[in-house]
Amino acid sequence: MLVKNPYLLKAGRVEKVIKECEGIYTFHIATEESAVFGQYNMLYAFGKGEAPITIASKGENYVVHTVRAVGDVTKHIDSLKEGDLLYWRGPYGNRWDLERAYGKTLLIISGGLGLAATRWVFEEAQKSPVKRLIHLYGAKDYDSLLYRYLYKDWNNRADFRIVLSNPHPQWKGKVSLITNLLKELDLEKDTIVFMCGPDPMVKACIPLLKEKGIDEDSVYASLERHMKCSVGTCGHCMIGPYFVCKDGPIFRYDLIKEYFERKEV
Amino acid sequence: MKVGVFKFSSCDGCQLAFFELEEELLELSRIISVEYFLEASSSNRWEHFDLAFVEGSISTKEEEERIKKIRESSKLLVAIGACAVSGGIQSARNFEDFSQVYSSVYSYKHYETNHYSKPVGDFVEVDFELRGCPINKESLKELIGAIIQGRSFQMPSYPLCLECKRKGNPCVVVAHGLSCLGPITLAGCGALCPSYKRGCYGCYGPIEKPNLEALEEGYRRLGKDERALKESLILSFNAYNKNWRGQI
Amino acid sequence: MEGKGKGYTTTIEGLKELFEELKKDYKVIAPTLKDGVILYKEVGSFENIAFGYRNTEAPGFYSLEKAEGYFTYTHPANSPKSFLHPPELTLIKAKASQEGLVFEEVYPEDKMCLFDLRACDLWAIKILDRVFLEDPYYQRLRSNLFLVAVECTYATLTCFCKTMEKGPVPKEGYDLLITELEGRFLIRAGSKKGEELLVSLKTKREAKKEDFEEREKKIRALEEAMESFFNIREVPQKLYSRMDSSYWEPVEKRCLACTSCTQVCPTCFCFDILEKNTIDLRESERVRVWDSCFSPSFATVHRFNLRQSIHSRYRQWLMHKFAYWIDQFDTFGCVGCGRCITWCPVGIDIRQEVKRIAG
Repeated sequence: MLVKNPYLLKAGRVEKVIKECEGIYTFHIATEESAVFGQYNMLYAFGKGEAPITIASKGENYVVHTVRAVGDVTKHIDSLKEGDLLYWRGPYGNRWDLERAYGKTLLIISGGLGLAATRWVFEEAQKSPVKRLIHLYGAKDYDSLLYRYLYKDWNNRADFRIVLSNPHPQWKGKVSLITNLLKELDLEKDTIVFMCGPDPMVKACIPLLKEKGIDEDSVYASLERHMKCSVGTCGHCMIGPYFVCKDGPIFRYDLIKEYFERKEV
Repeated sequence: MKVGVFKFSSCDGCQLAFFELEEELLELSRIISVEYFLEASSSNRWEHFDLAFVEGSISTKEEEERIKKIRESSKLLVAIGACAVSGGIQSARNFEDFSQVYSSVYSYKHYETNHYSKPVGDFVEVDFELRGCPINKESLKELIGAIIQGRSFQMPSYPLCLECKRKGNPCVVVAHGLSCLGPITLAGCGALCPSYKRGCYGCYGPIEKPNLEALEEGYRRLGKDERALKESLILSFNAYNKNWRGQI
Repeated sequence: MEGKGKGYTTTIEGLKELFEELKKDYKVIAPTLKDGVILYKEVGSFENIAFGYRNTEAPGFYSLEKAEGYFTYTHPANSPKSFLHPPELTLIKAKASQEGLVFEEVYPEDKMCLFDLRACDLWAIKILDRVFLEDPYYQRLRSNLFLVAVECTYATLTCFCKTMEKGPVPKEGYDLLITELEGRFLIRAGSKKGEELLVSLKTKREAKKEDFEEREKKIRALEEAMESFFNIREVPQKLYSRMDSSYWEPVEKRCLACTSCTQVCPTCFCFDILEKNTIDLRESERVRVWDSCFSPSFATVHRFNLRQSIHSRYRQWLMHKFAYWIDQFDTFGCVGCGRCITWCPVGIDIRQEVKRIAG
């Protein structure tokens, strides 16, 4: 029996590097490989290892990754220049169920770097028969805002709102918590919600959505867990019976609630 | 890269690991210049070090001063071996009445020494630790490789048992009724003792949160009491390690 | 199941002939004695098999003594996992070149025969088959494997394959199946490969009704002697409903989190992938090594382990084996071999724990 080797790496040329903010860069990597919104790739750094990075967007012949330099692998990737080779394997994982939001309101909630995981589906939603499209984006500081160059476009096509945790002289918008922004929203009961952000943000939003009559089975969250193999065999990313790497990273909230909300599962 | 190798209260054994880097010597000599290493060279210079390796525990006033001077002269400081990391076998005295220990060894008061033998980290900031009595060549290579390649130092955080089982050893506690500190000792030695049918005596020091209560029960199962466990820990070369200080 | 085709009986010389035949094509792994413990290892000669030893096992206890007969022991301390999912395996080598990195897949090419495999371990392989269905490294080793199963006629105090409904009788998946009778051995084939080899054996005669009857009697006696510890059908649901039970926390004081149970388990598959290289970094290897959910860095996200407490790691392990696994692979992750009980240095008995939480 011939089984494809899931650990084999492909090479892609870095076509474009965009500095988002200090320590966070966006890369366009040349590839013909297909992928869907919500999926991720394992990016490799020679001599250092791999890191799972969400696919932030995709062009016809390239894939977009936004990488924050926190570990050895991500630091290496952030040092890449245009023309350099990046090695990777993927794509892995499932996709956002965008079709469920057709004809309804789609609310996207992104926290911090979580915006990288929702950007692509947000862009696709703008072109789709979603009735109303709202995107709440919470960031810590003015200096950590991602994709500033896209905001104008996004504002024209959707209700895109930003909230910062800390004030800044140049920031004229809201300084608050994303949960406060959510509280202010008028939402239909059949609203579909996509979320990606730190675990506490996701947990805090759930009861607020419930107050608005939005059930947990209408909410999807993209989770971040320790991943090594990305094909459901190394066991690191398990949450309850699920492998986040292959059953996720996106889960309908009612399915993972039991495990996600409980301590140390 | 300017390197210094220093010695405090210790047996010199850890420094020998540097002489074992034969295969890497050529490659290393291109990158590293050893400025200060009393055991290896007769010409030593003490100016500035990119990387300082420190062997031995701090157990005299003179040593307290000298370790501070080394820290001031060094960009990175590495504590090597159980003495530097945990106070060494000589820290067993920290658990006894000092004057009694002293008089059992020396018949007259002649030597100036601290009552406690302490790890280097109690006096200055330590950037990396190499565990073991003595350290092994592999961990030294890993650390030098990490620094040269600009990546983080990969050291196990798990207990020896994982390494021991990967090697295919049946547990010596179960198979031979030996007491073994493996379950609470950091991996990294290659499970040397259990591979030769001996219990681990803990020379790599404790994992971050050693479960002493559970191990006590393990000792009881072997017909040994908690005093026997305490004695094993005190003689583990790592008795004064921060991960269990106050618990022994 | 009585095996495919006819049964034969043979003598110890016949088994030796079988062993020699297998050795021509395979690296033969069999139970052998090492430092007073029976272990699976590559065996060069038939005489090195641990025939005539009996293992006594209890929670945290193991000993050996001499016994009358040949297959007088149960299973070795290690399991087939050590050979099919090796504790350390290089997956890929990356080399730096002018044009960029060059990757080389490194496959293990061993053609192995596992000689003397018991019902529990046979099931364990079946479970690993599901876990590593799409893993080319496992599949390479697995597709070249020849399996000689042996029926247990004895159970230790830690055996509970009957409770898990995985034994003591091997049901399927073997190439040959051996049962020790008085002064002779019953051999049956379970595959075409096994049948061919069996037919070619010189030292054998066709099994008669009495042979099968004697076998039946032995097996029934063992099955009846084995205790049933709990009803597995109820366990998964009970566990799912008792995740917040006050049962879990006291485990904190008893479990060392030493990882031994997961390492000796024949189905625990979790691994880490390390990047190993030399100082000059001309080449770097991606190496797969056994890991454990008890390891303090196992569930680390951004340098924080989601399972800080030992009892949460114990819950993860037990829930995985007896609940999550069924959702993942449509089978329990436990075959009842009892290795985790015997080889726990503080003698924690998973049967008692399951009974306590989900009994």
